[in-house]
Amino acid sequence: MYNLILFLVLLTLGYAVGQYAERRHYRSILEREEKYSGLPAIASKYPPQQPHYGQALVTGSTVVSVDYFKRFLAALRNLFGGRVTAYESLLDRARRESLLRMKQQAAALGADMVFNVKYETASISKGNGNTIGSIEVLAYGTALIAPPAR
Amino acid sequence: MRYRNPKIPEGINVSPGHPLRELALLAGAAILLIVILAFLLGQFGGRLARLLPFEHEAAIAPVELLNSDAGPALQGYIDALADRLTQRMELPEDMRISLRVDGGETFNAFATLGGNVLLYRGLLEALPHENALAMLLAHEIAHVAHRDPIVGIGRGAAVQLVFGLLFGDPNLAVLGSAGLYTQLHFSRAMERSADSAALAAVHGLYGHVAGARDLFNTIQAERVRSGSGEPPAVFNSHPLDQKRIEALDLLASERQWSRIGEVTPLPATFGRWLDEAAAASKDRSAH
Amino acid sequence: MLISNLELIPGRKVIEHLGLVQGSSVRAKHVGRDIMAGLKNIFGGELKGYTELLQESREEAMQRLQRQAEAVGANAILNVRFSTSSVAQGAAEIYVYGTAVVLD
Repeated sequence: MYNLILFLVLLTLGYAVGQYAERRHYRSILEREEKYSGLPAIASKYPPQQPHYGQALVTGSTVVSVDYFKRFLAALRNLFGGRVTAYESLLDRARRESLLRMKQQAAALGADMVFNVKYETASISKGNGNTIGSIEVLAYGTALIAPPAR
Repeated sequence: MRYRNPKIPEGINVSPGHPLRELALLAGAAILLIVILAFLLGQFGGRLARLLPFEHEAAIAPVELLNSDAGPALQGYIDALADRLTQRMELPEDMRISLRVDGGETFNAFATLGGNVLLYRGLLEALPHENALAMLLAHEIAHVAHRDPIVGIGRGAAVQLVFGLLFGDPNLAVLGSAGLYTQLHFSRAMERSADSAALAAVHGLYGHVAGARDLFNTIQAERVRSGSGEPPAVFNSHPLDQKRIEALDLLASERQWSRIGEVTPLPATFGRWLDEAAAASKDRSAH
Repeated sequence: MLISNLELIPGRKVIEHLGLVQGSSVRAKHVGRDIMAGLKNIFGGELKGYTELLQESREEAMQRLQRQAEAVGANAILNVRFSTSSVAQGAAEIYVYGTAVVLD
């Protein structure tokens, strides 16, 4: 009986706090995407040759963790199959956040654009019983820094 | 060559839809699945277990764990009473009942595999008269006659096996309790049917059912005395005592069994026999 | 919508780069497939259930990639790359990304 009560408490907590944190994060992401919309991130490998850009490798990484509610929802999905919507928003946030951090680093160097952007996803700390603990997303690329105008 | 990052609309990589709705849907479906599955498995396991012949049951009964502290007088008395009851209960040919008394002060009695029934002194002491004792013995014998012990084990084993496979994920452990609820329901049905059979046997023996309900009154009084509150109905494998009494009253009035009659008192030496059993139990645990 | 993992399309010029577009899909298998896979562990052979699962997942990810490209006004996606990662026991994430461009 007490197991059930504990479970429900954790579930509600996970849901409430998780949803709040997610909304806050998304707001922050949208703000910063607005801010860095002038700094394009391109996945192409061939940058423009002129002017002679300075280069620097820039990276941005995020580790996001699941809350109890999402974990339970995903476990239920494992029974019935189908889209695990609980993790979709998680990964989306992690990727966009990493990209923004990379752009932040590039902006700090005074870059115009970031080229050859690539992503790496890894799942860290499997948590108990092989269920996901947290995900790390790394975004990296080459920042192209225009020389100062003479 | 222009390089831009136009804004990408939301909702493409993230599915719209409220997570609570999804939870309700999935959890509801899961619980439904579990209850149906547990029910079917229970039935299957029970039926399979019932096929096991009774003699083999005796072979796997945990006889060594059952203490026998009754002196010859006490054993003779309860055996005789049990014989008179079984004559009226249509036991199958090969079934033998072995009664044992444990001198410990636990307030309980149960029937297990192989026709073995264990009665604790704690419960025997509290019985007011022979009719209540007869009701108790008849109830346990009815469990054996219905093969409830082996069926219970069969059901439990089947459910546990499949649920272990399906719900190995520790996050879903909580859903296992939904299956447990179904199993408890079986136990309650078993208790009810044992009660009815016992009442019929007691009526056959004494010609009336006066005093049979005193067994439940005794149990209820003990619960109140020891302060253990009744757990909620669904998590208790025995139906609430009040409901059991009502069910028996209903049965008695349907069959028009008289509830009025003289109760047979326990033998005068019954108390002494129980004390001897208690002493024997202490001796045993001292070694 | 032209989708390619080439960097440059022969005979066509890129007019405008519109940045990174991505599509991702996380799908879980259900217990049926799990049990079949368990049996295949004994008998060997292709895990058709999982193959189907990953294929469906990839298709969905590609569709989402296209939707994003359309939303930013591209007519081609170049330099497409795939990434598969297992994010939980029994669930795999397929991630596709590329550059949305306007070709002439």
